[in-house]
Amino acid sequence: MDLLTEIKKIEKEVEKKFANVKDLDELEDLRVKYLGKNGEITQIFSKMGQVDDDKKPIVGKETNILKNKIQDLYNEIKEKKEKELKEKKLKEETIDVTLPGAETNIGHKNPFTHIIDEVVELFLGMGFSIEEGPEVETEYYNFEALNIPEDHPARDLQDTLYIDDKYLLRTHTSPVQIRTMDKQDPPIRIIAPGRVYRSDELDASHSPNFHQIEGLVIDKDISFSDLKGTIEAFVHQMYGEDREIRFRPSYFPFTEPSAEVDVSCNVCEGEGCSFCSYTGWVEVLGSGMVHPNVLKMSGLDPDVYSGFAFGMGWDRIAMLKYDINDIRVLYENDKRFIHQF
Amino acid sequence: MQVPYNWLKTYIDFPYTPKELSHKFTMAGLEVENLEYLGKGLEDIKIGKIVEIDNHPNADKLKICKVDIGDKVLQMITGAPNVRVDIKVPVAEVGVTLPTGMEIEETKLRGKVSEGMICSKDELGLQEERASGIMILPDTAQVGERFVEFQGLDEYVLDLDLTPNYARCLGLLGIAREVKAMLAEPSEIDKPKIEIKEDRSDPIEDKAAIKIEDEELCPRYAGRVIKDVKIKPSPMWMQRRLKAAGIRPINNIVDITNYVLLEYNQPLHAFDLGNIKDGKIIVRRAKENEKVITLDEVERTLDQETLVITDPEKIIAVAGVMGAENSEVTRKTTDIFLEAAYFEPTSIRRTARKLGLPSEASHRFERGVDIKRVIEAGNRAAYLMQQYAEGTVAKGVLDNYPLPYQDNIIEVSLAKINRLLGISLEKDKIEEMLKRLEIEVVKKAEDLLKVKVPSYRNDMEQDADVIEEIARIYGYNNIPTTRPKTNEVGQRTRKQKIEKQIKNLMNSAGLDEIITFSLTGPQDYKDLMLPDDHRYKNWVSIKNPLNKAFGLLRTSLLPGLIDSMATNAKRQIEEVKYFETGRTFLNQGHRKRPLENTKLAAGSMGAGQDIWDQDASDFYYLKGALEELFARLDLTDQIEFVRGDEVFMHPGRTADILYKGVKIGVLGELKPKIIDNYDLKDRTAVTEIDLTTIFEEVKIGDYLFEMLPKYPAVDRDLAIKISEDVPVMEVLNLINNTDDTILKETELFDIYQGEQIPEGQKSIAFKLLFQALDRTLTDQEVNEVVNNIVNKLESEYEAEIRKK
Repeated sequence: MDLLTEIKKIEKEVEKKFANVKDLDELEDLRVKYLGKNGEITQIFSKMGQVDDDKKPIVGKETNILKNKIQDLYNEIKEKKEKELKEKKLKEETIDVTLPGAETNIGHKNPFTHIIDEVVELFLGMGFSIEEGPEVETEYYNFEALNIPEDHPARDLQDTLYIDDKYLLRTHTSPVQIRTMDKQDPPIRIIAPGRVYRSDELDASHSPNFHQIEGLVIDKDISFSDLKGTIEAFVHQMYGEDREIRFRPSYFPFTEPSAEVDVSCNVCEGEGCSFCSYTGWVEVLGSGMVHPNVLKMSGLDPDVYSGFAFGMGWDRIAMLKYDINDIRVLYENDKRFIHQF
Repeated sequence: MQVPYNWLKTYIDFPYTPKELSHKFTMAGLEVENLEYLGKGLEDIKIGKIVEIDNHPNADKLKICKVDIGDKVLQMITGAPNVRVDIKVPVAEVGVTLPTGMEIEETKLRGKVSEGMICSKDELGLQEERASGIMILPDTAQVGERFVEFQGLDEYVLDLDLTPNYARCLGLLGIAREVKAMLAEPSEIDKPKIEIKEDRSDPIEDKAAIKIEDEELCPRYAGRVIKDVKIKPSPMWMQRRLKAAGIRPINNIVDITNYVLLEYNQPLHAFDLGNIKDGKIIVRRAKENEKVITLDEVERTLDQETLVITDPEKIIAVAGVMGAENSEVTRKTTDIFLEAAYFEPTSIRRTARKLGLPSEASHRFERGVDIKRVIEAGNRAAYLMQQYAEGTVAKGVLDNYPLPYQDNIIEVSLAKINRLLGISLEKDKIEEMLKRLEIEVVKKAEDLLKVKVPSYRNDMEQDADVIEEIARIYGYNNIPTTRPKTNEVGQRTRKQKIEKQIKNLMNSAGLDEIITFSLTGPQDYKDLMLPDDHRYKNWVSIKNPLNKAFGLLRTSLLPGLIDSMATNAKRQIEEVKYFETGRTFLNQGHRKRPLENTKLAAGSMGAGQDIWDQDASDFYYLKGALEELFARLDLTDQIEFVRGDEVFMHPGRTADILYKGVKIGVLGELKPKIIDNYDLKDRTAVTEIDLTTIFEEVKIGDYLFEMLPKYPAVDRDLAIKISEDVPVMEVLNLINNTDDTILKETELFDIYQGEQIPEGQKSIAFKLLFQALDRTLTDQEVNEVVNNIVNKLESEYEAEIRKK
């Protein structure tokens, strides 16, 4: 068989084999078989010596054409097969996008922290600074400087826990008012969150240890209407813009005039229900204009300076806002509870 | 203070329903806690008269009654044994629902129709236990009358929660004055009737005498004598009003003193004059350890602070608090000495507290009664005794009044009123408001009012009090709302900023924040099995704890934290990572201020895989959180974890945390025994750090940019065999201290003991990262440093380099 015939034969064979290639491995085998170091093409070239000289150019040309053809076929099929393979792989790599994502494990803020963060942001925005004071207090800061002398019936309002005849556990955050006035001249604008203590049995609505947030503003020309505006901003922030507010006269030894602040009941929207004892209103905080005796004791002239103060139960805000009906839940620290916030 | 609505109406006319009045009071500062209708559920019960009784033909025990209820006669079947013709009874017609919930229907009983029910007391909810028969009413009851009206149950009671500044409202006349101030139309108060017919032949001076030995404690003491009284029950109307106000009727004399107390807010005391030696009253301080048996039959020991009422021989009352048994009014009493006095409030308060005897009287005296109305109240009671105890009032009043009341004059500036309230009121308007409160303007100047305050307003001392009254009348809710003007910028304190940052970082590390009680008890420390001299036992005790469980202040956050984890473990919640920041308190000695420190505590229970394979996942989880915390606070270089020996920790698994070599905290696995005590999961770990130093040392926001490297980094792995006793941190420090030029990072990535590693040794592997800012490093440079490190490790620890 002369080489030209052989070339034709190979060409036919090549066409057939490449057409039936299954995968890249097989293709590679074909490449080696024809184009490899010892492949058929090389073998044809090695047989060139047997060819008559006049036919050499033709055979050489035909061989080169075949070689190129094989190379082209190989490239074409390789590209095609690779593309198929990629597509197949993409298809195989399909995942269940509905499976849950990896856990991030970020801890939860305590409800108390959620509340205070919100309160603090609001008051920082209104130019208030955040103060704090000791939880162990003296009679002076907890009572006397707040215009609650010994033997005053107002002391009955709070059952005090004593450490000895000199120290007691603060029954409210109001001592921070006095401590702030001690160290700072007006203008004063502070809120003071903290723990307070009373001799109360632990039950659904009482705890011997709970939290308050105190507020104090002292400057020239501070009025009751300023108190109202500030409290209103607070109530709307914490309980919602649509809640109604009412101020009613009350009594605190360290403020005069004093006001209790109610917001319309969230549960019944003011209609009256068991939650608000059928009044349509829920008590949220106590407030008032700083009593002149308190100003005087702190060295401020009540004819020059005036101010207002307010105090509220931090636990109570959380309970009202998050619809918690038992104060003990706040201190029990069940993970399922904390993970709700 | 319980205020019966209809009773109040006898003193002043007002157009408000009980509900409206309730709202008005609350908005005026007299908070109404509760509004109750006494006849609740009995509104439809009528009074009927049994006019005919027949035996039931088909039942031996049943009777057929014809009952006249005014507009008709109904037939009712009853089994009650006490039915009789002509008696008056409460009747429920068909359709009425009783307080017990029973609805009356027309029924047939053994073939006979019953058109309603004759009620017993228990069916009306008037007594708990089952009654043996129907309720029989007095003959004065009118047929067809509403039962609630006849029984005095047609009454609303407003329960006022009065603040201490409303002492004047502890009597109905005082409350009537408040109503008067609310009314837009001027209205007058109808004063209680006093028409005494004195026995002119018998002056009081012949029967009694008063001597005050301590004027300070008793500025006024007055008395009247009522002779020949008949002790019996007081009239029904009086009993009903007392009951509605929450006072139990006793007899006419006691009831009258209580009745006047409720009218005038003036406590009175009736003595049996026959038991007062020579009728001589001496008001003095008790002698030290003087004894008296009070009306409640308890012997009381007094001291010199206590004011007492005595006769020449004995104490007959603890002034303002309680009478003595020896002069009590009894059935045999004929002559009464009626005391009406003003006692100094503080002294009464102290005595009542010391004796543990709060009473209706002491409650009022300690808040201050109206010294000017003492006589009037006494006269009212004398009059009532004349009317309802058939007594004869002796001529005259003994009135010892050594310290007369001084008028209370307050100056207030108009400008200040308006400035402080944020309103603009004219002078006339203010005067009109003050007039409604019976506050008299005695002098007017351009901007100044001088006002005279009524004697019953002992809550008013200065201009602020007048301003409050004006605000109250003006209406708090009519005052506009503004905001204080300010140029100030609000700030958190440094400590608060750092604490917030710490909390955020702990959250980010996967820990939930908890809040526990700072008031704890010794039981909370018991399961930690601490020796007696442990620092956690240096606690501050509460002098007057409510109970032992809340008897001391926490010295550590750990008991609360561990307890919270235990609570979760009990509830099958197996993985818990918690932290708390809060204050702890250390005892510094008697009358010394306890040390309040803010601490951070954290605990981990049931954390997942342990990266170092030492079955200490909780420990290393917490350590990782702390390391990241310190890194973010830029404290890494100052902090060290070294082997510790905390008693409640596992001895081989606890570290002390040092800041610049000083211990600031502990980290460790709890001792297995303690884990058992609390029923925690095995290997639970906790940490506690005192944040005081951190608050002082941390720099907030102190960052400085460092050029980013432009040249590639080179890394080398280094594995060594070393004695298992050498802490990894030491090796790390040694490596890091070897070079401070191109060695950028040393990362521990493997630690191994077991096969191929001899007993007592461990294999540790590090990745060393080299980099220079100004050039690409050559192999030679890096090799040199690595060799230095290797040499040091070999010479220092006899470490053996493992071939890779």
